[in-house]
Amino acid sequence: MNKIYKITLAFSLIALTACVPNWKPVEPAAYVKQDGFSILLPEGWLKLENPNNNSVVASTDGPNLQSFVVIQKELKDSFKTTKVEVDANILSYELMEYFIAEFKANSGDVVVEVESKEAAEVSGQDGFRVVFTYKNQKGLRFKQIVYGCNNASKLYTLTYHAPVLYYFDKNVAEFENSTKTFQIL
Amino acid sequence: MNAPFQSWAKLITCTFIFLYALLAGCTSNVTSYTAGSLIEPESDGENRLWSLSEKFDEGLVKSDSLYQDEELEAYLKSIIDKLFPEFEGSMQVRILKAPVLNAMALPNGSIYVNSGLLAVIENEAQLATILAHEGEHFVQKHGAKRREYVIQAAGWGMVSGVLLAGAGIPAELATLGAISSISGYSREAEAEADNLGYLRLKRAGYDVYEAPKVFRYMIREVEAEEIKQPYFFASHPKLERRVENFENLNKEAETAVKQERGEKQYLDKLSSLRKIALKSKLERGQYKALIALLTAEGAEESYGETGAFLLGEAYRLRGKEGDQELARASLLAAQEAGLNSAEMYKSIGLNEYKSGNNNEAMSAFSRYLDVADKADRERSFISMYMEKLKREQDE
Repeated sequence: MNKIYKITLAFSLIALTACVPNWKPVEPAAYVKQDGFSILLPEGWLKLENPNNNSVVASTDGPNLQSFVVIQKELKDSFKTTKVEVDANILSYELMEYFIAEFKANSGDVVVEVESKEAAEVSGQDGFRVVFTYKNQKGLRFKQIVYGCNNASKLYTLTYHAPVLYYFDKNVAEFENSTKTFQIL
Repeated sequence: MNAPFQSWAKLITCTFIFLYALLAGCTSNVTSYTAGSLIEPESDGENRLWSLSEKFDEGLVKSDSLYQDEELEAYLKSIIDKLFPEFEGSMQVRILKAPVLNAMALPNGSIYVNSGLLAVIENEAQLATILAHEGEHFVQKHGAKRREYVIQAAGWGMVSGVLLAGAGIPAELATLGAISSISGYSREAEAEADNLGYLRLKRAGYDVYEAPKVFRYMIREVEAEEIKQPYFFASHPKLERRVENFENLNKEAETAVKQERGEKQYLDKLSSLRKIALKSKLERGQYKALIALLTAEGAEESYGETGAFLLGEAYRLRGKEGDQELARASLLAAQEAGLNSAEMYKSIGLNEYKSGNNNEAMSAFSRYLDVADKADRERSFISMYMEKLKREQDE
């Protein structure tokens, strides 16, 4: 959810400065490689050309309608609001608890509910899968799936976010398939 | 990850405060409500504020941000009507699902109290302190008086509109929320609401010695979380000053006989909500605030076994040196007090697993799997940790 706002904001700023965001079609069967991870994005989607080598942003209908975001972050920089200090030996369950807390702490006045949480393997690592839901002030419900794990001092998250109305179901299977191709390098 | 609403509201409110400071010499033409006044907007400007307030109200309902409990709302209404008998029915009190210690009054008479604040206060007199304060913001039309300053500030609307459009938040709604909170009005308005609210508390027969405690709880939370006092306190009475103010009012009031505190009825009505709100503080990572609250005098009695469990969880998750032992003691206390939930066994198991006490971890995890709902997907974590423990034992 927060990332969506950031993306929206980024778009607005880009629009204000008369620049055009550079979206390119995902090439068939071509892994997107960044510093530290790679992933095979769904074919037919658009990928935002991003100078930042720690993240990947993709969408098919525009980031307000559905987004697929992969982020690699230092663990020590991942829980700034809750001010939790974690080390590389953290249990996957605890990592999920801290992730949820940070997410909720950053959601302002929006009431975020956790629909489900479970263990998940992410690039062969012990990880988690959490489903968040929330409603905006117009009553539109959004859903967000987050896969997460850590590898040494890095936190990896793969997020799919979309309005429940039509768009969430439309592309969720592609997201789920794509997460299976994620590899920490 | 930053909270977009909070960041923008903060930015805008800071701008607002700056512009407000420039216009501090201006006088207001807005007149407060008095007994017998028609409770309605009296100018186009006020009309606009009422309309915004109604949109704000609707947004909170649509976003499921409110605790919908008719009995509880009737209880809150009975208190506000007792405090403001001449305005009976003009104000509506609702509970926001928000763990931060806050309350706010909108210009249309909607008053919101955060569940987090209801979780830490201990009796009806303290709740009445908050409602009297917020009710005075409405009666004195502090929102409309403040708006007068804003509309005189050239460029304000343009600046806020452009910035907030990027965040997808209507500028006026964000500003309305930020300036209507418990310390979002001007220094003078906050002081006036404190002082007039105090008189109402006294007239309604509440124990006025409970009033400063509300602000002490806020100080405790601010200190525990090691945060600076919220940004708007920079230009408003500091929390310490407000405690002092109430204590001075108590000295002047010569109220030797302590009056109604209403502890029992408050706890009877709010006990369930208080537990939910404490849990939401845990889920938002407010471990330090929770520990400060649940280790305070009287907390054990006030929050019972749920308090002991949440204290154990807060220690486990805070993760400082010695916290595993403190978590163990609190979780065992919850168990001895009769708590027998899946959550508690999971917590005991995780704490022991982290501590390297594998037998104890296995035992607690087994109990968790016995008690937990078979459809609960969290079982996957516990099953995985049990398998790892078994493998370690086999090796």
